[in-house]
Amino acid sequence: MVKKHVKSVVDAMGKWVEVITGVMAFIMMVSLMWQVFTRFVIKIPSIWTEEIARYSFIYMAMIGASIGVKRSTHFGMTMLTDKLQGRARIFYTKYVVNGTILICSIFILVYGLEFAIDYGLTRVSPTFLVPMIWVFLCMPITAVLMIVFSLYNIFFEDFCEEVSPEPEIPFQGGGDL
Amino acid sequence: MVTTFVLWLFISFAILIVLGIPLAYALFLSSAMAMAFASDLPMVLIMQQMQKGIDAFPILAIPVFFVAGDLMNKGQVSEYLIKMCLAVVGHLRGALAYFTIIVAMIFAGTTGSSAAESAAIGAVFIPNLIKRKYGEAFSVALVACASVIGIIIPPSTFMIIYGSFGNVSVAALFIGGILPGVLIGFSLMGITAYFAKKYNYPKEREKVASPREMLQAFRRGIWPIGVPILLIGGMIGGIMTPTEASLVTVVYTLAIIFLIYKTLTWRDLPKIMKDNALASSIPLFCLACAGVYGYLLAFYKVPDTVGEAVLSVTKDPDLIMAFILVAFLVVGTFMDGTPAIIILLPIVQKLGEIAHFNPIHLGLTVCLTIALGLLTPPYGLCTLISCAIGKTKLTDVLKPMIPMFCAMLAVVVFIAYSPNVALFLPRLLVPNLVAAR
Repeated sequence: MVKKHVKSVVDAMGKWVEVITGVMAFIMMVSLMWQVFTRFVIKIPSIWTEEIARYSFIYMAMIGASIGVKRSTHFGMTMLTDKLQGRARIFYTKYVVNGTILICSIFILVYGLEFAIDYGLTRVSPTFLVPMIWVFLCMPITAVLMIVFSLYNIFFEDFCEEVSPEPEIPFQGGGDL
Repeated sequence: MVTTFVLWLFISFAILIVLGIPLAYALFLSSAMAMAFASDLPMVLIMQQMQKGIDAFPILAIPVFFVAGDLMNKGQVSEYLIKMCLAVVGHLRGALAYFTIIVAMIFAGTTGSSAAESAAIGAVFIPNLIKRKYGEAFSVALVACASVIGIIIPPSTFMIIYGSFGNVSVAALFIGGILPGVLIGFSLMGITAYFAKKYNYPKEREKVASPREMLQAFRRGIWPIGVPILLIGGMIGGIMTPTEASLVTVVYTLAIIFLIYKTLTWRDLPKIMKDNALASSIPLFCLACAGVYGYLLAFYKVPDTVGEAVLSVTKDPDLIMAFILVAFLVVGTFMDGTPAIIILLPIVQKLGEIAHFNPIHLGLTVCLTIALGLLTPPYGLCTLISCAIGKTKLTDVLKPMIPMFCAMLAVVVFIAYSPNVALFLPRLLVPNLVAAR
């Protein structure tokens, strides 16, 4: 019962994060397009596009990576661990892999916040003069998402045989590096 | 102090990798542990380096090239490319295998990632090659090898990363990648010709196509070739940065898909955008984590130590080049290209400085060698993906793959030892970006 509830909340969260990632990519591409247009067509290069593109790119990359935790698509060398079978493998994926992700995420959260507050408040971005804390906050935000998704994987996800932390094979294009 | 720190860094990383921890987290955790247990550096430094790792303008091109490649794929452009190949080389023995290589080369001009390419090319060609009795092992091996060209012919994710973190012109690396990419394509064709004769592969048509047929096939199939032309043309003389050129390729791809092929509608775009943003965020996160690791190595002067160690053994540039090639081939077997480049970049550049290599030639060689790592098991992404599509075991594929791999390695070694050939195109097209030396 609890599981069903949690699953629906986490899935909804995942969906929103995916949409935000897509929107960030869209903002990045539109501002880059505007940069190309102003530079080559109307010959007055706009100065603010680079900053928007760069910061939305950082948010896209960081927040999108948390979905990788949810879907177990972060790649690693799984040649040895693939030999594990059945319960041992489920146990391993659940506790060792997601546990490691959890530890890293807590670390990113704690020191990311410290970094954002210590360094972000005093610095401003070159063009917009916005405090850099708004950019640096992407790291603690990502860490929170990663913590949620890895905890969910540990407590509620029942990894069946075929789910492993290998790259998901993208048959229809897309794909990871 | 320094020794224990570096030992922490290496040993914890090796253990985490063997345990199958995702690479990004393995890099992050081993950096964090080394800092916590063996140094008095402030921990905040990790976050600062992580932020720096993805705050570089050139790497913005990576997700954009992901989108461009996926548009080509979802727009089913390969179908028209196949028709064009059918008209030109359809009468040869083993025609379908040639199609695979030619389409892979043209596709390589739009996609910056070999994994995406082996997925795209493999989905189209592997089932058809198997159906036509080319043999499962040969089909899978061919697609895996051909898709590696995706990261050699520009655009290329590895080159973007190498260029932006190694302070080398990405445009010059891109242009340098054309020649080896084409050479590898031709050498694969040569091997195909041998196999085709030996195993008597089928032809796709009896006679050479008539000029009229050819013209018809070209009218629809020629458009995708505009992408690499536009990309390279935009970068000649440094008119456009690779990031801007990436945008232009997306616009061009959208234009040909909407106006000529009409295989996609506006409604498909949000999903393509979202999927590729998510797909590119995984290597980008890994990049951020590798940035921390690489910074710590550089902070403790590991590149200098390695440089001195090598210098005490030899001063011969040829031997140093051989060392770099072997090191990257070995690293490529168990690690993905992106983190490998970031971590080893300072060491390689130090060695390059000692041996007086041209930075662009060095970068090109490194990117080519790392690209071969996409084939070598246990962690050869292209081979793994192709095997998954062909439902074949890795061990079966190795036999036909060995001659192909050797041919590709020969091209890479040739490029590594003939800087004048490697730098011919960059010197011709972007002379201002190639250092004289």
